[in-house]
Amino acid sequence: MVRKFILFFALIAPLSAHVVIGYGATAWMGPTYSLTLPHINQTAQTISGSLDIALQHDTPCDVTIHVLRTGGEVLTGPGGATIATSYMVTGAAILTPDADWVSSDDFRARLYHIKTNGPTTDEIHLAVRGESPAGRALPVGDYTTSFALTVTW
Amino acid sequence: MKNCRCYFLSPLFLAASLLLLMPAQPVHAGLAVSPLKQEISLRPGEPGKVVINILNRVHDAADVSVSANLSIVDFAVHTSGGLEFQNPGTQKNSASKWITLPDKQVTLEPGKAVALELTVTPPIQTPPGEYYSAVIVSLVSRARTNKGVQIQYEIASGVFVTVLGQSFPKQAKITSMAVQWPAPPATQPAGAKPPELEPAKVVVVLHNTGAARFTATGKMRILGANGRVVMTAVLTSTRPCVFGGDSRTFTAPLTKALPPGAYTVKVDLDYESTWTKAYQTLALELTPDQSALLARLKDSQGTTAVGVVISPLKFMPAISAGAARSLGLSLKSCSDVPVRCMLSVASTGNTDIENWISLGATDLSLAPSAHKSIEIKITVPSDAKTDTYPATLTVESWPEGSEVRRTEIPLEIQVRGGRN
Repeated sequence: MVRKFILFFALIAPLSAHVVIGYGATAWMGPTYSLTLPHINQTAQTISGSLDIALQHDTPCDVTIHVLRTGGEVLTGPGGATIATSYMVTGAAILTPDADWVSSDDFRARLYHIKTNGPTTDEIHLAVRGESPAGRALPVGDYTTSFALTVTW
Repeated sequence: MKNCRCYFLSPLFLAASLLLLMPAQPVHAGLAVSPLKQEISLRPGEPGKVVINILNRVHDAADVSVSANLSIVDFAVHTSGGLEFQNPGTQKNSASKWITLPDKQVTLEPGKAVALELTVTPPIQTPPGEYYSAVIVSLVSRARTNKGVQIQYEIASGVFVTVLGQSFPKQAKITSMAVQWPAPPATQPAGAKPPELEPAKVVVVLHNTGAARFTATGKMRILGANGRVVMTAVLTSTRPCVFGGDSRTFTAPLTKALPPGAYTVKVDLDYESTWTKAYQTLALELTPDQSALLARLKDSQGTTAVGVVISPLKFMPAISAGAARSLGLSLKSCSDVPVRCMLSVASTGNTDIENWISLGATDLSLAPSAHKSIEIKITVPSDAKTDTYPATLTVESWPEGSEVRRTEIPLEIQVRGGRN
């Protein structure tokens, strides 16, 4: 009886209206949505900070940077003043982690391939650095960036 | 005199002010989305359903409800394999306008899940072909900072729609091929750790000239001036699936120290066509500086294969001149994905013994946990001198989604009873 049912479904499967095939599951596990950087208050000042982000997944996947507004990847302060911003993304699960700081321009186009197959939780280390220029005084204050980290298939 | 409404003294204002003055507290992200990609085949005008599951995973007792916004976007794939998200309907192969979301925002209590059923309806006049879209699930942040970096977490779930009615052949060609040498490292301060050397690599761009997507795999061979293979490597890409009309970069690292001289680099890429592959050849003149760089790069690279357990790790067969002997090389997958393996052999002594050796397989795929035994047949010519002849058997293993690693297995053939 069971064999007849299997045979029946095997025969009608190609006739069904459509076939859906799905792959993989992922979850950002935080821990946080934000990274606080020190106040800029002098010329030639370098500020930096870093954040560990956990990604749970059951298939190799990619992490890309999705800039949500123009210039969102550049540290921007009072009156729209900007400072040179660079990033470094590392982690044992990343196929080609950054070996050095990556400029904000290059960071926007980066693709980080998570090579582990899973199911597993991998840690991604995101470091951010801002440098105020040596010969030019910028408005004193807090400089911020805003972008999305998007995990893709 | 008008009544002065002192809003700043109201309890609501004070509470809001206190909230603003509090430092941003770490808040856990944590929505799981599945699947990451799904494919559906439909006829024009026929509605279909795809489901995206969203779950608020439980971490600890402090978990809170999490909200996420959902949107449908187009995407373009760059030659590097990176994705760029764009407004719906802007790409020529967009399926975004055909997809209906049941909700634009979901809020889930800890441990709760929702299955969102999306309706996909290609318009009746849609030509047969492949169309794409992505559903972006953006976690709504509860913590804000005005002192640094604000991160939005997103998960993109791809929806690949095939509109039935015509099948398209897989077509491709290689549009460029070059050897890319690493830039010289910047001067380091005294005592600083030297930066890791980027490998030299062969870079090939494959263009999908057809309308059907394919997943390409390929290999590269370097031949010496005498026509003998001196190195083989697998060509990989961060995104080997190439859509119709797109191009993709595939690379293979140069992992062998080669002496200066003239070489020929040959590549072939299998793009799932039933009758041909894409081929390209490149002449390479290796300078003494480049040769020295390859030697330095080889020293800085590991030699352990991943994804497979190989045994034995050394062969020392004793064979009489004029006789033949078969050896067995065991490859066992220890990966939970398919592992591609490529085998090659090269003489390392003064005598060319590559034509003494034949391999039972040079390019194979191991299923998860599978085991294969490869025959290595050695036929010693009758005029061979009594001596030891060294060679190296190289196994390159490539678990799907990972980088290629090499294992070099010494092979020392001890010829007995030969000429003295």
